[in-house]
Amino acid sequence: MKSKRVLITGLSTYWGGRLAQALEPDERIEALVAVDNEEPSVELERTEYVKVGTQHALLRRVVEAAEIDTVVDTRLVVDSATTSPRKAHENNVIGTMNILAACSGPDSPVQKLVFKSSGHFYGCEQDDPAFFEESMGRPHAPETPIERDIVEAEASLRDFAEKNPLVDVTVLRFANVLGPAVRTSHIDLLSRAAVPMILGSTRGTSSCTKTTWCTRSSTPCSASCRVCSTWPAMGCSPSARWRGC
Amino acid sequence: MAQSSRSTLSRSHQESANGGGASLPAVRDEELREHLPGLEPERRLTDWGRSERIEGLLDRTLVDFFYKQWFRAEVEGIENVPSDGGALLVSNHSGALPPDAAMIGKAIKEEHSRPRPLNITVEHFFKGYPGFSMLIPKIGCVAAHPANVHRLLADEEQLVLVFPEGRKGTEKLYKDRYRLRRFGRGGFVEAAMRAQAPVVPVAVVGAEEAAPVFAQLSVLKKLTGLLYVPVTPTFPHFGLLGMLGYLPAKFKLRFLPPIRFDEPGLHEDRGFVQTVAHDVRAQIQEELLDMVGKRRSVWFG
Repeated sequence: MKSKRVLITGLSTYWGGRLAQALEPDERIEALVAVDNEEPSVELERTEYVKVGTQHALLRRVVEAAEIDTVVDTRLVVDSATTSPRKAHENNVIGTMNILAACSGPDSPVQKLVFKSSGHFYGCEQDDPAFFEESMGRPHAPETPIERDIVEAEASLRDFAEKNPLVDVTVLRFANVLGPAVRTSHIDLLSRAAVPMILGSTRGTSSCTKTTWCTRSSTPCSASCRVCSTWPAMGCSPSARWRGC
Repeated sequence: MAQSSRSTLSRSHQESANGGGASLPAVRDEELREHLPGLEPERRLTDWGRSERIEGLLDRTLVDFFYKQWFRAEVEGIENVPSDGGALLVSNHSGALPPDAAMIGKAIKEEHSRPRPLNITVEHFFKGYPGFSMLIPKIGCVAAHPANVHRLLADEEQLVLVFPEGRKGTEKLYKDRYRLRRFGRGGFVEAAMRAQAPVVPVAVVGAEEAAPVFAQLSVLKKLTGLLYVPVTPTFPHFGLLGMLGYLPAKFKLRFLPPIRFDEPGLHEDRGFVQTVAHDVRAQIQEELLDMVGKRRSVWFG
């Protein structure tokens, strides 16, 4: 199926904005609609912005009115330093449930759903393998609220895929990114004059290790989703830690 | 399993590069590396965290000295190590801070017609211990996880060294020297069969005398959180450096003919896995007894 009418949720996020910009020049896409509670952070030409959060009744009306065939959900929050656990839960779990509700149903025009998840899905413990692959699943129960949320969101997505077998569901487990155009707590940490280094820890240092370098020129490169955490406690000098995926 | 998912990934990358105009161009590792404003741009680390610089430095100094001058290592059957494709080296293990792994790696570097880096599997414990956690991956050690071993053997076709005795080997006291402990649960054979990589048994003589362990201190072990705290001729009374205070025993390494598993699906037969694991253990034990029996002197061989 070729996507013609696309809805992007979470336009104000980094990935949402970048995706809208990347899709705009594509002539095969007839309609590009994007929703978010907050105004978009990037300049857009033909994307139709609708100020809607994750209220499923409103979203459903947008989906039906615009006859959306493809929904790309880019809302997922993974930075626990900038979002409170409650807000993150609201967005990651409840928001996902609402968006899925807006896309489901026998008369829904949606045929394809792309969900931006995170490499946090796999977790990071001392006895985990150095590289995760999609077939591996998660060896340990989630430890942090963010990880719990991501596992829960993916579970509701799996449920959706089972109930709507005709909809093409894709999950992208991204690694965290670094780059000149991104602002995350990792970048704040690494921009300091002296960067603290981890000598060792008995538990995995989960959020610090799964980072992929992304540049403006490159396309979203972490879709293949190899979590780059070779050794959780290897230390954090930027040149050593981060490599492209 | 791991292999198939990797190959489908790379295939889809190629397809997107050739056909499908809408798809985004694939970006390669090397291209991305240019964007890393590294303090040391010439620095090279593998995906496993192995550092050419640190490994090379240690290899040229400490390991070279121990291999050539101190242990005067003698190697037999180096041609049994395959020059290409993945292979699993299985060896006996001993010593407080075991010198055997480094010597096997050095032997391949020095004597083999096509030297290749050796990946040494270690306990997960080292990832969490301050200091060790930074050094260990840089010199080519990898946590002993079945998925790691499979990736190295099947996908990357590298040499992997395992010590199936594990901790039981290094904890063992001097009076039990050259008596092999139980070979784990046969996981190493399973990994080799799954990857269809040959197993090369290795018998090492000398390590037991180089770092004899006279006792284990369980109180200090609890206090430090280490795997074990052994009493050796130089440790703990000479401090941490005493860990490197090896006695100049003569090292002999014997690489045995590879055992091949070319049929897929062999690893599913638990009984067969156990039998092979038992055979490999018996073979190494036999060679050890033979080598120790022929030895005239611990120090001069």
